[in-house]
Amino acid sequence: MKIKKSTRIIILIVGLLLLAFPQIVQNDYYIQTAIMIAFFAYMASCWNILGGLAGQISFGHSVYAGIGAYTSTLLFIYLGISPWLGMLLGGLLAGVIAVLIGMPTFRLQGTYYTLSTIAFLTVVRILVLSNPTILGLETRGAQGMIIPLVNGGDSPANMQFLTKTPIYYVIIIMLVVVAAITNYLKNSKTGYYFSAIKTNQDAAAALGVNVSRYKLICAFISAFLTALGGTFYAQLAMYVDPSTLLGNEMGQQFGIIAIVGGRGTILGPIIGSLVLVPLQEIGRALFGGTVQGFHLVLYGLIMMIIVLFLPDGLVSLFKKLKPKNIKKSTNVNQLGANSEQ
Amino acid sequence: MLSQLAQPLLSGTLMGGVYGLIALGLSLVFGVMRVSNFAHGDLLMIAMYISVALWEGFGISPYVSIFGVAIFMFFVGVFIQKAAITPILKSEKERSPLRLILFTVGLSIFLQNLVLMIKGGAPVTATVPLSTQTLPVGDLIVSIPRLLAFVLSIVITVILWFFISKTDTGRAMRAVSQDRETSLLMGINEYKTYAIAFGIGTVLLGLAASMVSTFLYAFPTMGSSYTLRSYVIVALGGIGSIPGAMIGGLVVGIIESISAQFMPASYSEVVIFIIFILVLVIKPSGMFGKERK
Amino acid sequence: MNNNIVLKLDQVSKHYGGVAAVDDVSLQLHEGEILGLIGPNGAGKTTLFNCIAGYTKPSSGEIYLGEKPITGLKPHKICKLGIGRTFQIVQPFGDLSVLENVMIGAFCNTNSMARAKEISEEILELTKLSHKKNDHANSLTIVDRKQLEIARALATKPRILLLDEVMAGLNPTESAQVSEMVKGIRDEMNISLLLIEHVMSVIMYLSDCVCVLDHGELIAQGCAEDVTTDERVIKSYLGEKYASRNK
Repeated sequence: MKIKKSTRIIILIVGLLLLAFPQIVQNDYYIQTAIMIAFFAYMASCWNILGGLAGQISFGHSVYAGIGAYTSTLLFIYLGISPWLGMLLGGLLAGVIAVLIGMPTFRLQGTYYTLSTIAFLTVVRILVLSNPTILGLETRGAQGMIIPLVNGGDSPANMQFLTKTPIYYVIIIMLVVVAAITNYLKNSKTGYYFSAIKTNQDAAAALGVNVSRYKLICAFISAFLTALGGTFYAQLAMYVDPSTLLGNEMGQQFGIIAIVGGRGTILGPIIGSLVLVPLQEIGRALFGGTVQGFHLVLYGLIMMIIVLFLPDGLVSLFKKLKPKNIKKSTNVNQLGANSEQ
Repeated sequence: MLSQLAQPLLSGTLMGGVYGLIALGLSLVFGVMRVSNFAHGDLLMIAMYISVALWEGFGISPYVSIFGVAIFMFFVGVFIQKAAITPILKSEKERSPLRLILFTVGLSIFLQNLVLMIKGGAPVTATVPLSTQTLPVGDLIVSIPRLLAFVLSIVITVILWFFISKTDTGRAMRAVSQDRETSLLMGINEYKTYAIAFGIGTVLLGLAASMVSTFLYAFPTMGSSYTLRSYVIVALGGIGSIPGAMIGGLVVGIIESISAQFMPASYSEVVIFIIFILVLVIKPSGMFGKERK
Repeated sequence: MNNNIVLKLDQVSKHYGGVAAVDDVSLQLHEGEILGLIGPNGAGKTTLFNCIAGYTKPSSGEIYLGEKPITGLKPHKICKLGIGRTFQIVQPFGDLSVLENVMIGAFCNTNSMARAKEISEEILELTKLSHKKNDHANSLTIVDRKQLEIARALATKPRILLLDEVMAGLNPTESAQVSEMVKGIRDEMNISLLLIEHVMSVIMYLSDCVCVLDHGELIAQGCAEDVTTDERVIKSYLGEKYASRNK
């Protein structure tokens, strides 16, 4: 695909800024915030592959993050397998499970798929919460698992870092990769098929699109990438627990961020994360954690407003500023027609 | 064995009737508008909190405030319909449910966390004198508020059934749900019909919430399990079918209550999910519903 | 038109509950033929299309594409075997440009972006949409949407094309424009067409033969002039009154 020269220059500048960021700020709090913004941008981008490109809405996507985190952590604890490898295995497992869940539910109206995602997350959470072991492996229920330190936490080969800076680079690279995958998909046969499925499954099938197969492919990719993010999160906290990773809150946030930013676009999830994640910090600063749910009240409210008045998300504001630039392939604009059956 | 199962069978039936009533509102809205409402359970939660607040704050028993709550919920429903759902339906040429799913999920998150923020996460209930009353029937114990809720649910369902089949408004609803295009040609005001359907749906939630607030606990995150349960019931009973919702409610209530004998209480949602997947795999069009063209 | 049968329906029925939407319909489509399918609303025309294109499984009967039975295959399989279809309500894939919409059809036979683009550009040339190829599909007028819908289906390289009320919502000029296009498709691409149509002048102009459905039953079949004078057809179409008045 051809990228315009001006776009290339912008990408270059942004890239350099991102690389230099930890050196410029030299402040752990800001780097940590940047990590969280990049993490949620990454997760929302993964969600966006299924929810934005193919129009299959999941509000339980954190289940794949949980599967990724638990798999890599258990592999590390029991077999000493590095999380770098463990995250790929967790990704595969998450992908396979996404396909198994998709098979009975994708055949139906979108509503039932969305419900099944929420229900499945709930079920997995309950199972993990109420059992001290899973398949004979100790997962410690609600307590969660602490990831043992290697060499006092200084073991890049085991995804353990002493400072925030390398962690920051890891998540930035992951974010760039998911953006590149999204861009590739948008400009390939597969992505075109996703787009057709999103608008009208029957019309897509009439043009030879194997609708259920492509939905499952999409679910696999999205779940695989989400699971990698789950392992990242676990290694960031050095801790895995069901109420955070498998919580409803996490599952809702990925979707909200992508929707608020702009579904089906590459920049949408990133913009969404830049706007929404700092709200959490503001909430914490205002109430110091005494008031629960503050940022989610705002998230819910913002989401309703966006869906009502700016259905293509914040990213469409930028598009409106640029005059008549509705060209193909780089087109980030989605005019309304988002249906599913 | 049988005597062991008699008690859960009875409690399951009583609870199932209420589940049926809760699902009825969803079935109606889903049937008439094809609109997915992911905030269904959260609206039930709000109505329960209102009932409890009226009892705790002013000593008004939920059995007294029930009509007030129902009327209030009617306006809540009509407001949501007019402020959000109708504009979205009007702007979407192809009537895709996607934006409505997103909107109602946003509403659900908003309501849940608003209550969490204001009232905290602790469960609340309205402990009225009747709450603990029981009626012994042979070896079995019947909880009076549950029995009352069951009986009222059945009565309300029958009244609704009459309303839908005998009144002009009800006929308009059925017409719109069966063949939207033709009913528009016949001069039915589509959006008014939707608003009434949504309003009735929330009224049913208000009624159910008042009745159950005397013996069930309300908490901010309870909504999602009621939303899921209601969709399962609608899938079982067939979209838009009134008797179907009641039968589906009873089936789910009984299965839940019997399975609770064999597994921890926290697994009830696992059971609902399993029923959900089974229904989808075995008969996606609903167990008692008609196949749609 | 020659005598090769490209599509054969053998006693196809579709029941919903107790109601027969399509009742024991047998018909044949010959190579290069344009066959019109008419009948009052609710006569089962679209249901018949859905049976052929795999959207619903017939309750009984067999459908053959050439010699090959295709009854009950999935829509995308049937498309790959060479049956294209359009829908009554056209809906372009709104995220995409006109060209990209057509490319989705072209991907039926290729995985390459470049090849799909090539095929689509040819098709757009033929359907006279080339000048709009970079437009957003949602910005198209209704007549362009209809043509785009046909172009998408053509890009799958079908041997048979099922057109479901393509003229609905068009004014006479536009309808004549699309009619010409349909005729051109038959002549230049050697595609056989089965079309559902309400506008009688279109049927008379385009079709070689006409089938009339009423309450799911095939009540008449023949060349257009014969069928329109058939009394049963007039009755089902225009009501009893009209039929008796014309006696």
